Amino acid sequence: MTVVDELQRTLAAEHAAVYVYGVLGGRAADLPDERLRAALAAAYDAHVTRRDELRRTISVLGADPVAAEPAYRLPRGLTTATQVRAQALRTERACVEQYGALVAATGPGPTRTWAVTALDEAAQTELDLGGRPQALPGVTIPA
Amino acid sequence: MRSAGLAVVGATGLSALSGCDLDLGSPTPAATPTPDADERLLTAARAELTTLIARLSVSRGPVSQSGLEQVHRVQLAALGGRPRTGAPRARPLHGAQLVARERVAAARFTAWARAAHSGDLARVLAAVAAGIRMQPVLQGAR
Repeated sequence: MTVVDELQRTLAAEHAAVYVYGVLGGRAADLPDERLRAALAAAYDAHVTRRDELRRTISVLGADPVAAEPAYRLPRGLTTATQVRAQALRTERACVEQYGALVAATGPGPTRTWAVTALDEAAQTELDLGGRPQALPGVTIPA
Repeated sequence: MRSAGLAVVGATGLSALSGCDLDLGSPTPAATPTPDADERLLTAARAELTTLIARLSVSRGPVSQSGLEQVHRVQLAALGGRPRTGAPRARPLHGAQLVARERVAAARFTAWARAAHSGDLARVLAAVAAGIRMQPVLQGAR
């Protein structure tokens, strides 16, 4: 897989994250958990920024950035703060994994630096969403 | 999805990876380090965690501190290293000194993740940096 392929996969993950956080933000609007709403809004903004950065990077490299899907499948019953938080954490973890894959696909340079920063920031977002600290976020350790 | 498991970043694996993960697409590629540079980097990364483990093991602190030692053991194992046994007496780490030392370690791992020639090594180093910053001892100091 080339660097551009992995960038496209990362962009696809950002498209999905932007969609999911948009939905979750709407669901959380009626919930009394102010901290959750703030975390969702911050995560949404971060993924929009990264999506736009990836689009530019991929274009500069001469490729057409992948487009977002019209919609993404979400589980039913995202009505409580616990359910919304759990879905947000699943989304963020998937992004952390993808940033890790992008780190692995790149050599030293701006793209690697971007991916390392994104991984670090998304790991912090996991904590803001109520996730537990991990020793190696973005790395799958076989059982 | 790629995955990097425990001790996959052994020294012998680095040269085998070196030909397939150059950042050919980067608009302004940095100078390419040699695999030997990765060997030195890996040695330094293991030494960093080994020192932290040794210092934490002689420190008396809250439960989170023993959890931090365990986190570093997991991270060291992922880098193919093992804690020192029978090491000379280490200086304990407490309070603000501990926070500062962990911050330094996280910054070092971030820099090493950016510099590593091997992508798989870089991924583990980036995960170590993020993992350190996730720990309660640094979250409490945010």
